[in-house]
Amino acid sequence: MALVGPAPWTPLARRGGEAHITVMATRSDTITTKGSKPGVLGRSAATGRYVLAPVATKKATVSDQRIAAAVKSVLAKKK
Amino acid sequence: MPAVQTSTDDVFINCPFDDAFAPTFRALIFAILVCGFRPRSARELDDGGQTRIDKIFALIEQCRYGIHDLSRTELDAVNNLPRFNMPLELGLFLGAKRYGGKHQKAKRVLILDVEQFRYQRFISDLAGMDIHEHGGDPARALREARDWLANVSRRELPSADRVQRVYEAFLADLPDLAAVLEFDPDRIPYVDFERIVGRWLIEAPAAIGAA
Repeated sequence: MALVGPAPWTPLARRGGEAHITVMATRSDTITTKGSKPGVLGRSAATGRYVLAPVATKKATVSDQRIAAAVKSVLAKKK
Repeated sequence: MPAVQTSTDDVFINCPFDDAFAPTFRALIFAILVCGFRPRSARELDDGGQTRIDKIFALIEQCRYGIHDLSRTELDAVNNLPRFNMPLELGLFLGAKRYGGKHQKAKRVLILDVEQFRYQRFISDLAGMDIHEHGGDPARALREARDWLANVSRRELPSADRVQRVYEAFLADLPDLAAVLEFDPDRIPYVDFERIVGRWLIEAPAAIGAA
């Protein structure tokens, strides 16, 4: 059976003892709630850490594309 | 009812939103993002739908970590009254930690103030909690936030010195970024500011963090 998403959890006994793991958290910091799993923007070369995308609940006043272009142009001037 | 989980990446910032505090607010946002976490603030909320307090309940519920700044426990020049939103939201956060399910009980709290022991004069029930002093200095708040996140999350984070160097480089670029994006550098909206920080961190060269 092809799974298209996490199967509803049922007790092991009701599944006839079949071990059936559909989703496994591999890091403790991947637990999220209500579909709010943060996206990752990318990795920062300056720190080596991943940078998480902000929550989009309020409309920003400038687009991501414009911000990316502004950042690239300002950093390019310093090279 | 199932226990409501929290995001272990999310850090609730409970702080003043006035102009004088803005540099410290920005430093906290930067510290959280540079350490690989995600800032959450009442500033991200839009104006429709739920009441503001319901939105704050939801924000607090979702966050494993909370940074609470009590700096504005002072009389305001206009109304001669203190701002009570920060102590209220700190109380909500502590209440969730105390009375919530297993995920809520795992919440961790950093309390900041301008002086370490000032709280004894206005909120003495916090006695025994470790209040961290930043003296109104954004750089100290930045380092306090980084050190606390490293401690409570047990993740390997960039050093406080590196975080501060990267932040100073960002601040040096901020006026140019604001000019290109047609913002007043002192009044960049929260949602735009955190996206500018995020993109800058991705694009900034490795040399920026070097000693």
